[in-house]
Order: sequence, then structure tokens, then C-alpha cells
Amino acid sequence: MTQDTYDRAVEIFDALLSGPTRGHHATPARLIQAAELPASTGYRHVATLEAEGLLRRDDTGVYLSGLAAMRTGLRAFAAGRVAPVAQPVVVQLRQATQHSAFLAVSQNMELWVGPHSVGRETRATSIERHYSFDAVPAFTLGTASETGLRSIRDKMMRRAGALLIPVEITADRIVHLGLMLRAPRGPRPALTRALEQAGSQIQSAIAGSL
Amino acid sequence: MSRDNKSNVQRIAAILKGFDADNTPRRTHEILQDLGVSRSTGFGLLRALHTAGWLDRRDHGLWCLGGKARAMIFAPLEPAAMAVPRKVVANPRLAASNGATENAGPELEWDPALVRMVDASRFRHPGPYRIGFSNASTSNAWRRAMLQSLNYARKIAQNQIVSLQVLDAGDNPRVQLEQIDELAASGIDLLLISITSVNDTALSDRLGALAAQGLPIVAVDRRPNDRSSLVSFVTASDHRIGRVSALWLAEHLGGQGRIWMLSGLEGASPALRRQQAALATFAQFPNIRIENVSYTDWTAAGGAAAVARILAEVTHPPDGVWCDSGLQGVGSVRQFLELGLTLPAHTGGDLNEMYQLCLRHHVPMAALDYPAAMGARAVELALDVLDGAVVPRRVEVPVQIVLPRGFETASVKADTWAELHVAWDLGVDAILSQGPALRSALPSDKSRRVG
Repeated sequence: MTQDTYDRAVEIFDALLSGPTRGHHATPARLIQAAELPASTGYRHVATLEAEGLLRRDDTGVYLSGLAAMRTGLRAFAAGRVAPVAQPVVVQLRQATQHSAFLAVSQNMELWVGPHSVGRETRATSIERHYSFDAVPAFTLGTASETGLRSIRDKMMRRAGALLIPVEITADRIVHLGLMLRAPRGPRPALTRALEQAGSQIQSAIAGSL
Repeated sequence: MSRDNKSNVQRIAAILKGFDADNTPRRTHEILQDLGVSRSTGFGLLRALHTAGWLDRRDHGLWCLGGKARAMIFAPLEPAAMAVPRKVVANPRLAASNGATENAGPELEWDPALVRMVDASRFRHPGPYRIGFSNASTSNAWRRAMLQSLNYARKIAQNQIVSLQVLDAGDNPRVQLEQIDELAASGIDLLLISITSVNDTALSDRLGALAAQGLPIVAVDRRPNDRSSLVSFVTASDHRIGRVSALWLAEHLGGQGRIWMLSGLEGASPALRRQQAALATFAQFPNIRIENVSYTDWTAAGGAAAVARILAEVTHPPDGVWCDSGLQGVGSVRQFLELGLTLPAHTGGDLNEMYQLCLRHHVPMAALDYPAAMGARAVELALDVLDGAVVPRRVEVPVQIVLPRGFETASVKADTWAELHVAWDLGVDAILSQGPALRSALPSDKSRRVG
């Protein structure tokens, strides 16, 4: 095989994996079409990625990133220890607050959003993959703070407010648990309480895994 | 030459998934060895992944996950929440009288078991795997849906699972004991179990003995009281189902009224936990009176029989019927309809017919579907265990609150509307919480729709 063969395999992997973030694809055919792949090989690759847990389908059949993809992403930030607890903590936090809850990783002034669940109270605020901090943040492990975020989409800058609590801090990155806030309001005490309680659960889980 | 017939896409997935939690750099030969491919193929893939940004190169032939892999963390964990154009409260007077305010957020009910982890590295061995499933029964629609979800996941992971042997114990602990032995003797790599009886010591002892011999055991839906033999338990929060449904009923009734309780199967752990949580919640409302508690075996016939029996003894129908599932709830609703009585508020979801009946007859209802999709989740977890991953000791599949529009209460808000949740195009016995397996199954018998 030539190097082109391997480059092409990586392109296919990339195209299929990024498919769910580029639109709603409710059948393998649509995902394959969006990835601009021939149907002959596309089905096999979609089945492979689903079996590997890198893709999954929701109740309506729409393709989403799989839990193994999220786990690999967190490992790439050297934050893989939070992966097993991400789902229960984020979903419970969303259920308790009805605000969009998420795990995220920050490096310097950048914040990458990870596993998340959209809450009805903040449904109007879409969750972006990547934000910049509005101002230089000062975080303390286990303490929630309101943080201004900026994102750029379609050549337009948008602002959002989030309540973030660091759950793991290392020299080059911080893992946060967060809640999106409704625009005109600040964080309510109940939100801060819930976030700090959920954050402490992650901290104890990380401590237990060391 | 490569020693397998895997595609390069599959090999790429294996390379990226092979890094540890700290993204510790891996040596080229180590990656190639795990992959089981020739040097030329391995180097070709590593070079291509590096060029595209999926891998970073470190000194002396070391690799770690790169920037492109970091982008994979963005993952929705649940379907997006529905839009709420305005605050909808079923009874604004009730909300006001309860003193509900913006600041009265619900407390986070945290179960510490959800973040307890277990290292399954001792069970790691190369696939494909043979998995056995000792199923308590397929005696109701939910159990059949859970099995369908499990089979769906097996189909997805067919390259990793060489066989999935399923035995149905018909709710008989003695039969299940024999079937466990039969599965173990067949040389399975992992046992999935949904236990017939939580208190059966013979079953618990046998599971303990098998675990001591090194067989990984994962329970799904129902587990033994003694959980020491289990690596993990896949379930949903029965406590949440019991508590939230009871809270909704009590608030919907304005904190006062007569309630009949219809539980599922006596001795089954989900029924027990839902009932306990509901009773504890009702106890917070001094003017709520629990008039009786019946067991229904989670069947429509059981629900109908219980309601008929109680109606024969009392003069007035109740204000609310708390059901831990719509499996018996449909029997109750049908019974009130047949007798021409005013339909009291009901709880209990799961079954499509429950939603169809309640919406068609405008019955106030609240439902928290016990997710049949836990079957698929159990298979995923089984594969994680056999891959030697760190897994949660308890996995809870999320449970959504489903209410018809206009029936939210001060504390209980809908995750989705019943009008959107119901499937009018599917049969009455469809279980809506089985995930993608629902639509991949054969079409339901549409002739059996609710009339």
C-alpha cells in the first residue's frame, strides 16, 4: 500500500467522525453522503465507528459523537480520569438545574467544551465547541465563579455567561464543570450550590482513581 | 503482512483509543504490537495520523494524542432539551400557594455510587468475546424491549461479540440457577444477568462462586441484594422515578387527596425502590392519604384486576392512581374507562398505549420511562469490562420526565412533552425508551392501536 492509502483512511475517519457536528444525519446513507464517501465503502466504515463507540445514534436514529470519542478527547487533554464520571455528573446536574451542564478543559485563555447536556432554561444559548475567556480568569479548585465567554461563529462574535468550577488543575490545563447561565441573570445561589456539590463528586472520583 | 483483516479505519480507531487517561506517550513498536500489523502498515498509519494532527510526535519514537483528537471531547450526552417559549404552569394558583419562586431550585439528589469506579483490567483479554445473558424473563413488553435493545447493540458490535447466548428464566429463580450454570459451562467470557429474585441466596451464592473463579458479571435492570459478585450494575434511578412521579401527583392534587398505589412485581428491586421513594415523598404531604398498595406483576391485567377489586370495596374512586409503570397503568386507565368513571390522575409511562390513552382521554399524567435502552448500555459496558477499562460500579441510564402540555407543577417540569413523546404510528405495546432499537425493529402491529 502507498502512503496515499493511509492518508485516505485518515480522511475517511475524519469525515465520518466530524459528520455529526456538521448536521443531523438520521441514516447511514446521509452521514456517508455528508462525508462525500462512496456508498460501497461508507456503510462498512460507519458500522466500524459505531461498533468502536466513536459514533452512536440517538432515539430518532440521528448520529452523535460516541462515548469512546469523548473519552479519547479527554485523554488527549490528559484528563481521561474524569471520563467515566462525565455522563452521570453532567446529566444529574442538568436534571437538577435545568441549565445546560458541561465538562470543559481550559488552557490559558481558551476553553474547549466537552460532554454536555442542554437544559431547557438555557435552550436559547447554543453550546459552542470552543470559547475564549472575556478576561483573564482566576480559578480556585472547588470554587464556582461566574465567567464571561466569547465565541465566534459565522464571522460573528457572541458572548455567553457560564458558572465554572475547576475540578482538576494541572500546570498546563484545568478541567471544569460548568453551567450555562441565562443572559440577563447572574448565577442563583441554588445553581452555585448544585454545581459545587456536583464538582465535589468529580473531585472525589478523581482522587479515588489515583 | 498484517495478521488480521481489519480495515485501516478500524486500525485508526484502535490506535487513538489505545492511549491512557494521562495521554502518556507510547512507543512505536508498542502501538504496532497492539495493532498486530506489519511495520510498513503501522508506520504508514502513524505518519498519516501525525500529518493530519491526530497524533503528536515526541522524542525517540514516542507518540501521543494530538490537537485533532482533543476536538473529540465535544459530545452531547442527551437529546437536546425542548424549547420552552414561555413558562407553563398547570395550576398557577397552586404554584403561588406553594410559594414557588425563581430561587427555589430543586435539590441535587446525589447518589455517590455513580462516581465509584472499578478497575476492570484483570478481565482484559483479546476479543472477539462470548457473552451470556441470563434474563429474568420476557413476561412483559418492557422486558422484551430491553432484550431488543441488547440484541441491537450486539448487532452493532458484531465484530467484537462472536456469540450472545440468551436464556429466559421465566421469573423462576430455580430455572435461572440452572441456566447460569449452563452459560458458565459453555465457556462465556462475561455473564450479563437480570436477576429473578433479589433475595434468593442460592442465586447470590452461585454468582459469588463464579465471580471468585474470575468470571466478570454485570447486572442489568435487576441485581441481587448482595452485589459483591458484580463488576457493575446497569440500571436507571428507580428512586427518581418513584420520587418525581409521587411529587407530581401530590402537587397536581394541591397537596390533598386519596391515592391508590399500584406497584409492579413483588420482590423485584425496581418495584421496591420506586415504592419506597414514592411513599417517602407522599409522607411529606400530610393531607395526602394512601388508601392501599397493590402489586400488579407489571401487567395490564394485573392493573385492571387491582382497580376492579378496590372499586368493589369503596364508594368513591380515588383522586389519583400512582403506578410505578404504565405497564399496569394501562390496565387501570382501561378499567376506569370501561366503568364510565371519571378518570383520576395517573402516573407511569413506558408503554406507548399509556400515552395514547391518557392523551386521547385528557387524563392528567406524569411519566418517567424506565429506559429499555439499558440493554444496549449493558452490552457496551460488558465490552468495556472485557477491554480492561475503568468503569463505574453503577451505571444509570438517564430518565426523562414526560408530561402532557399544561400539566407541569411547581416542582416537576417536563423534559419532553407527552404529545411529542407518544408514537401514534407505532403499536400500543411499543416501549418508547429503547433508543434506536425501537425504529430498527420490525414494524409493530398497527392493528392493535388504542381505539
